[in-house]
Amino acid sequence: MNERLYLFITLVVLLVTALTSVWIYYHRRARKLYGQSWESILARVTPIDKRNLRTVAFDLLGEADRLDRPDGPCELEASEIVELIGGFEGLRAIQKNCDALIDLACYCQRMYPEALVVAEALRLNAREIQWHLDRLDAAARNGSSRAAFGEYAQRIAAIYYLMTRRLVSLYEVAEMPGVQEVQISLA
Amino acid sequence: MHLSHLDSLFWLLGLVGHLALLFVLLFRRRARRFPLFTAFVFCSVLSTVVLYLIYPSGSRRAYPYAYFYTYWGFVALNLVLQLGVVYEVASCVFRPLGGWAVDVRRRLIGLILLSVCVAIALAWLSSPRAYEWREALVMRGSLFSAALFAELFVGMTAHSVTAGLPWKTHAARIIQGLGIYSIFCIVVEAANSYFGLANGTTASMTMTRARMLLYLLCLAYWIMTLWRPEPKPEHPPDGIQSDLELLRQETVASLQTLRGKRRL
Repeated sequence: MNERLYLFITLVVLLVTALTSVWIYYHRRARKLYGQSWESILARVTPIDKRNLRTVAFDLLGEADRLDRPDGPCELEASEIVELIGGFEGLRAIQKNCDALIDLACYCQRMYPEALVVAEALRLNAREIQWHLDRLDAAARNGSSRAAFGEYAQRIAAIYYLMTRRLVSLYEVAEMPGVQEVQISLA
Repeated sequence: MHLSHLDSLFWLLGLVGHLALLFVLLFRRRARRFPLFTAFVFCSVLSTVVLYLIYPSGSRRAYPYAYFYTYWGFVALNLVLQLGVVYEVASCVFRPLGGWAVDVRRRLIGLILLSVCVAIALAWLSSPRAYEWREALVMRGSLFSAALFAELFVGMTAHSVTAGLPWKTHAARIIQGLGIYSIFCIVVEAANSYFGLANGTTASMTMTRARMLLYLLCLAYWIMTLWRPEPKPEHPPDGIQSDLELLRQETVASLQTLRGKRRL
């Protein structure tokens, strides 16, 4: 067999294996996702100190998340943010919680397709958090994580805080079952 | 060459299956929502009948390529309709409220570009065992379309699950059936390219029959799932749409404002 044929057969095998694996993975994920109740999704949310989260978020946002505060000066030092957020572990918990928050929005969307618009906006927020986390990881690899932590972690905290507020509002607006539990857990 | 009893049975079952699906689409009024999928099924019925009628005369000396051109003409039409079906089901799944989600739209464009590139690479790398350029072209084209559709349908499934979009809708069922079938088609077309398309070749015939069997199963799946009604959403509270739109605007605006904020 010539080299080209080897390449062709390899590509066919790789493509078919990859497509079949993706197909099976997402089918299983869909079954799992659509079999979940709001209680089981909410149970996936790792508890995060709400007071600390609010303190870090408000330092950037201004009081009551009105977003009308002029830029800076932020009072919290980077070391304080590290302590309040719980370092990288706290940020990983936030990242994990984002998935649960989106799944909760999708749960609402299953009952009311109109909720799609909010779920989409929350997905964009979660992507922004992921982006900041990637930047932070890169900074950690370069040895400049301390300085970068204050900048990125505070943004992550602020976005996550706003995401929790919007999700609670979504459950209130849609009069979803479990709205009180979502409020207690997230707000 | 004459068709074996098994091939005749597959042909007949395919026709009956398509007619049954067409009946379901029309009787259950799914055709209004999926006009291109209905056209795709109708085209399959038409091609089965026409090809069956011209098959005996296909080998006559006067029209040696009559069957060849008719067959591949229908394949080309089928290809165009399948592209239409991709757009149709993508519209149903990804923009249930009339607008494409920003992140979904970007991912879909990325998916299309990647799918086209991989399909081109696969078709280019193949060295079809063909007797003439027309056959080689057809084999490369078949491989390209099989790879493209498999990637698009699998990618759409992945994106729809990631976005938490409804999974048990009729559009999702169409994607599921075509996705499985398209993945198998890559194997069949790759095997055809490797072994050649010569009539009566054992490998070619076996793969073709396996594909026909899988397609019949897909037809049965569509008939069953499209006959059943879709899960109905709950009746939303009054005024929810405006509230949700307000909430969306707030969520988007807060993210944009945050991007511009500086930590001084």
